[in-house]
Amino acid sequence: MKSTMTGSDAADAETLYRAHYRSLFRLAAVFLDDRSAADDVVQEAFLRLHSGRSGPTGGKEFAWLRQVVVNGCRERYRRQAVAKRRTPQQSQEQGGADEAVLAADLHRRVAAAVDQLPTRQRECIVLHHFERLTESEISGVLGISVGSIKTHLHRGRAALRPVLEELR
Amino acid sequence: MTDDPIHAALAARADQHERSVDLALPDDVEPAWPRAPRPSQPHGVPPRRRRWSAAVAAAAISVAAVVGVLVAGDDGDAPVTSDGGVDAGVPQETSADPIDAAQPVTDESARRHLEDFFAALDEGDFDAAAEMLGGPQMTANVQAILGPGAVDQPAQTLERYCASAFCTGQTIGEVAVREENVRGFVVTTPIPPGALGHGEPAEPGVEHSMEYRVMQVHGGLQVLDLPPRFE
Repeated sequence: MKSTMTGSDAADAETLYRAHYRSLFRLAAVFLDDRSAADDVVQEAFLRLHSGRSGPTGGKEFAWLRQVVVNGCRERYRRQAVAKRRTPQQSQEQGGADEAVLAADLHRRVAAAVDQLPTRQRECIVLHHFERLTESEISGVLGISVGSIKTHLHRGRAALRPVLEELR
Repeated sequence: MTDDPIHAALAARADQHERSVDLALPDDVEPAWPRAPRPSQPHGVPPRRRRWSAAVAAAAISVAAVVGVLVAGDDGDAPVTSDGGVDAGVPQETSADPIDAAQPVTDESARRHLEDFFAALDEGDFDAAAEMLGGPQMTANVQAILGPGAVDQPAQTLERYCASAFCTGQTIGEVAVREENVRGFVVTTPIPPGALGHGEPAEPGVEHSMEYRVMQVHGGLQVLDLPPRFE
């Protein structure tokens, strides 16, 4: 962060950080399934916000930060996907008939199925089902039309249907 | 299981990662943001800043690797816009030869957008690819226009042309970084009603389609628009 920030700027930055870091971290963690990568993406977003480059006007910082986090996760995810294709993945299935273990395993499988969706479908699914954004709000985050959002959600849910059927 | 099993699954993942990190800001650190480096870090450099630098470098390399060919070439004569910026996407002279008219893409946001476009094609997400190149951001920065709507059989269409002299069957993303001067593909896309504007025949139930030929020429993207076909 630039040392030229005034005292009031620093106070504003801290306020925003305290108010929004947790929710942004959770969003990034859902996308990336990697604690340190999620932390990096969110930190980068806050750094960009207060670096003096193009940023939001008053009152729109959270929406701007969320958009930057989503974009950052997209880039990170792409690099992770390349790395995963080149590295044999170990099975994460766990044994045991404990109900909690079974529920956790089902959750992991659904989340893994979301990971396999094409980028836009995955983003729409996460922003709608996890962030609880409306289609119009998602359109603002991703910069694509509401009609496209509807299409991506429809196709994403259709792709998830087989694994969701197992939960019934 | 809640009424929204997708939410439950994603929330479980977020909960798992949140439990593994201390999200509480230390009250005795000045300034409190960004988070102060952990005492065990060597060299006095906050770990996040080091990772941030590495991440930025990796991102820059990644972008350069994918779109490196798109910024090759001499842009010394790139036209300047009215606000003083460099207009890297619009040719100033029409030419019968698209090779001469193509301009390199130097705008960072356009480069990133192109990377997203090729990644979407690689994933087979042609709706997303079409959306990206149909939007104002892309048309303002580059010359490539893919067109609206979904592609009926995009994989077969692209493979057919990738097998031609233009391309060699690699993924579109890989095609983008090849060093040959000319490559391209044709996408046939149905047109939603009303999207064509004037000239569109008002015949309900008639399938309309358009073909765009997108060529990557000397580091730039040039669209050779073909007349719309009404079927």
